[in-house]
Amino acid sequence: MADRRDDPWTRHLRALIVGTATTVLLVVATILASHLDGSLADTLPAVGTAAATFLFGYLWLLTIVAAGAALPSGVDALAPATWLGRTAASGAGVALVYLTIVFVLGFVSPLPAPVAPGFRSVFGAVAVGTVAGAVLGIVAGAMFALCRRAATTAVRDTDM
Amino acid sequence: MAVTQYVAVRSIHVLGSGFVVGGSAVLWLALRAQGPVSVRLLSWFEAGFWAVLGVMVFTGLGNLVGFGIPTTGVRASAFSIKLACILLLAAVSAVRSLSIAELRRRDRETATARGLRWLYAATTLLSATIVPLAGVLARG
Repeated sequence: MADRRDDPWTRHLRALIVGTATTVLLVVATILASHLDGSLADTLPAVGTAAATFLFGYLWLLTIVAAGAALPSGVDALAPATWLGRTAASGAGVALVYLTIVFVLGFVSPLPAPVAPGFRSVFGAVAVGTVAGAVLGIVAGAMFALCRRAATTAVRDTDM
Repeated sequence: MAVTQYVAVRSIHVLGSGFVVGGSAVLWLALRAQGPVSVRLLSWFEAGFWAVLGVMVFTGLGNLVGFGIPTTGVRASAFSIKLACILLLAAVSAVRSLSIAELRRRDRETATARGLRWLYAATTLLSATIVPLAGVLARG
């Protein structure tokens, strides 16, 4: 059962599920945290529609692509440490690419730059973001391992 | 121009909520009353569900700015509860969708699992709970 190969449709569906669920959970949890600490009312209206579309759409797309890369065919056969290593690398990769592009575009756009345009400040922000991305990748990987186990249990009686 | 943009954003959000609540309710009833449901149909719903949920989170942020972000009172509480319900809905839906992916991996043509029925029921109830909270958030 563990080494059975997934057809392309199933692989794409899994990448869409895991990528979108990660994006939704991350964005909604961030919004909830900033609402509870009172900063949402100041920050959200300051982001225009075009910038918000880019920031959200780009994160969503990158996360789906990263989920597709982290979820090989026969993912159930992976050891837990290998699985978490893959999700940590995916999270770090998403954060690295996302922050680099967002900062570069932030400097050339007419909007205020998100960080001061210096090598050390940008490199520091991207490095911290990449580490945070790896940690989030591990958290997401652990959560989806639990979800996969619950999913297997939910359809257990199909084999009866 | 601004009116057109707001109408489009709100229309997409409302249509998306109709798809999520209606689709999960129909599939719940089908699994309960009819019995085996095509895994192919379920997997198409799951793909549509996640595409729609992603768009709804984005249009929801647009609506939030349009209606004004609540900071105190009943609207602020409704907003917090709504976000918590969305987090729960996403977690339950991840399990439900991965169940369908698991059935596809096992080459099952139809699904009857009782656990799956409960997951569609939970999706329907959670998404139906979010709708009145959205009403309170928009109108107070």
